[in-house]
Amino acid sequence: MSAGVAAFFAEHLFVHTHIESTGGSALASYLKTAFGAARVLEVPPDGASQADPAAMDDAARSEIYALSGHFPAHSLERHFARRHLRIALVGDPVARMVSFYNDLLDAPDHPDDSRFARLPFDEAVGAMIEARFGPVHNQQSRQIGGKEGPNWLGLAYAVERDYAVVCSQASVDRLCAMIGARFGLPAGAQHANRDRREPFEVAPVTAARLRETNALDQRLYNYVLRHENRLLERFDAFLEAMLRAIDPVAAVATSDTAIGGTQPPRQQHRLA
Amino acid sequence: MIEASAPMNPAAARFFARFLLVHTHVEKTAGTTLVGHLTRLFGAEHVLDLRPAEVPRPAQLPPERRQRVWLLTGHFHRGAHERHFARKPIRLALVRQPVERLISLYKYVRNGQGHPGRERYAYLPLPEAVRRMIEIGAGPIRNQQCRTLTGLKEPKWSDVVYAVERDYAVVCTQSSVDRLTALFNARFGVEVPAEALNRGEPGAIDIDDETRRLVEETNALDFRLYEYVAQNEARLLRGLDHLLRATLPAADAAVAGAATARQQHTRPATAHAAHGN
Repeated sequence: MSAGVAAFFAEHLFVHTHIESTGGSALASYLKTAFGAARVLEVPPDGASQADPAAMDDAARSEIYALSGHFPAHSLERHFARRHLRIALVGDPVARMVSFYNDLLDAPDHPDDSRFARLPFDEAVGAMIEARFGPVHNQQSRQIGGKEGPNWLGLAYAVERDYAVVCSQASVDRLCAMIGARFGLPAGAQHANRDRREPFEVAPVTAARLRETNALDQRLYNYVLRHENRLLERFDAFLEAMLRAIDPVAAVATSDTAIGGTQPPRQQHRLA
Repeated sequence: MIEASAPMNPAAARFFARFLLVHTHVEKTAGTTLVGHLTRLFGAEHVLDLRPAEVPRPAQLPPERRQRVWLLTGHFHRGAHERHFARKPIRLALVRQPVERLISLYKYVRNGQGHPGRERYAYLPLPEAVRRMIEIGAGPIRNQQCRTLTGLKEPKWSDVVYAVERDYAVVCTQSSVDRLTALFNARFGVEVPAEALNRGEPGAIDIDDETRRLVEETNALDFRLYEYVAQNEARLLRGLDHLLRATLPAADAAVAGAATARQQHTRPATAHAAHGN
C-alpha cells in the first residue's frame, strides 16, 4: 500500500452506512481485506477487539480508515475530525425482505428474530410491518436520511450531496473494484453473507404490501439504479483527483480500469 | 424591483423551505451576471446580496426575513453566514483564469468609483499595481480564488479539490455562466433571457512577461483550480442539474401536482373517511 493511502486517510474517513441485506457485508469485508481488519471499525464493535468510537483516544482513532455499521448517517462519524466520505448500498425492498427472511431462517436461535422466522414468509412480513422490525417502513431511507428523517427532498440531497457514493446492491463488486483500483489494492469482494438459500417467489399481494409500506425506499432504490453510473463515476473522479493531489505517483489507475474494466459482464448489460 | 418574466415553478417555495442557494461571489468571474439573472428569476425579495456594506448581515435579520431568502450571495468565503439559515446549502461559485481576472479587476477598479482597491493600487500602472497588491496582500493575488472557496488562509491542493468536488454543488468557469443560468431557467421553469452585467470596458491591457510570471508564481493554485474546473465543468454542471431535478419537480409536473392537491383539499370530508384518512 502506498504512502498516499495513509495520507488520504489522515484527511478522510470512509463512513459506510451498512443497511442490512444490501451487500454491505461484502463491502465491509472487502475494506477489511484491502486496508487491514484493524483499519475498519465495525459498529457495533466486532467482538471485543475494537472499541466504541466515542471511547477511543485520538491515537486509536487515527488508525481507523473506515467506519461500518448499522448506524444512521451523521451520528458516530462526529468523533472523527476528518472529512467524512459516506458510502451506502441500497436494495430493492422486496428482494431485501426475502434476503432478510432467509437470514432469519439461518439463525433461528437469535432471541429477537426467531419469532418471525417461525412464521411463513407472508405472515412474517405482516408481523414485521406491525412490529416495525427489519426492512420495513422505509428502513433504508431512515438510515440514509439520518437525523433528518425520511422524506424525498432530504433523501435526494443525501444521495447527491451528503454521500460520496450510493449504489445498488448489485454493484458492490464494481464499487470494491473501483476502490481497489484507485488505492492500488487487490479487487474482489467476498460475499460472506450472501444468501445461502434459494430466492423464492413472493406472492403478488405481499410484494405489493412491501412496496406500499416502503414507498420511499422503492423510490430511493429506483433513483439510485437510474443514476448509479454517474454516482460511481463521480466518486471515482473524486478519488482520482484527491489521490493525485495527495500523492501524484500513487494515482495510477485510469478511469477505464477503475470503473469499467473490472465490471462483471452481467452488470455491464444491466447498466447499459 | 426586477420581476420574474413568467410564473415561477410552484415547487420553488417548498424547495427553498429546505435548501438555500449560496453563491460565493469571487470578483470578476461573472458573478454579477449570475446574481442579476437569479434576481430576475426569483424576485429581489428572495435575494440577499451582501456586497454593499450597508446591507444587514444574516445574523442581524429577523427570522421571518431570513426565511424569505432563497439566494445568499456576496464576497464571503465558503461556509460564512450559512449557520444562520436552518437549511441545507447548495453552494455555487464561478472561477476565472487568474491573469484575465487580474486585468479585468484592475480595469474595473481603475475605471469605477467606490472600490477600496482604487486608492490602494489601481492608481498605479499595472506592473506596479500587481507588486503593490502582493505587498499589501490585497486584490486577486496569492490564490484568492482558492482561499475563498476553501475558507482557508493557506489551502493545499487537496483542500481545493475537496471544495470543488464535495463542498460545492457546482463550480464552473466564468465563460460558462450562460450554461449555468440556462440550467436555472430550465429547472425553475422560467425563461429569463441571459443578460451580461458588470462587463469591463473594452480595450486590452498588455501585461509584460515579468509581471505575468509574477502573477503565475504567486497564484499557482488558482491556475490549477481554473484548469481543473475547466476540465471537469461539464460533469460538475451535470451534478447540479441532477440535484435540482431530484429535489425540484419539473415546472409542469409541479403545476399538475398543485392542482391535484387543491382538488384533494376541496374534496368532501366523506371521501377522506372512505379512504381511511
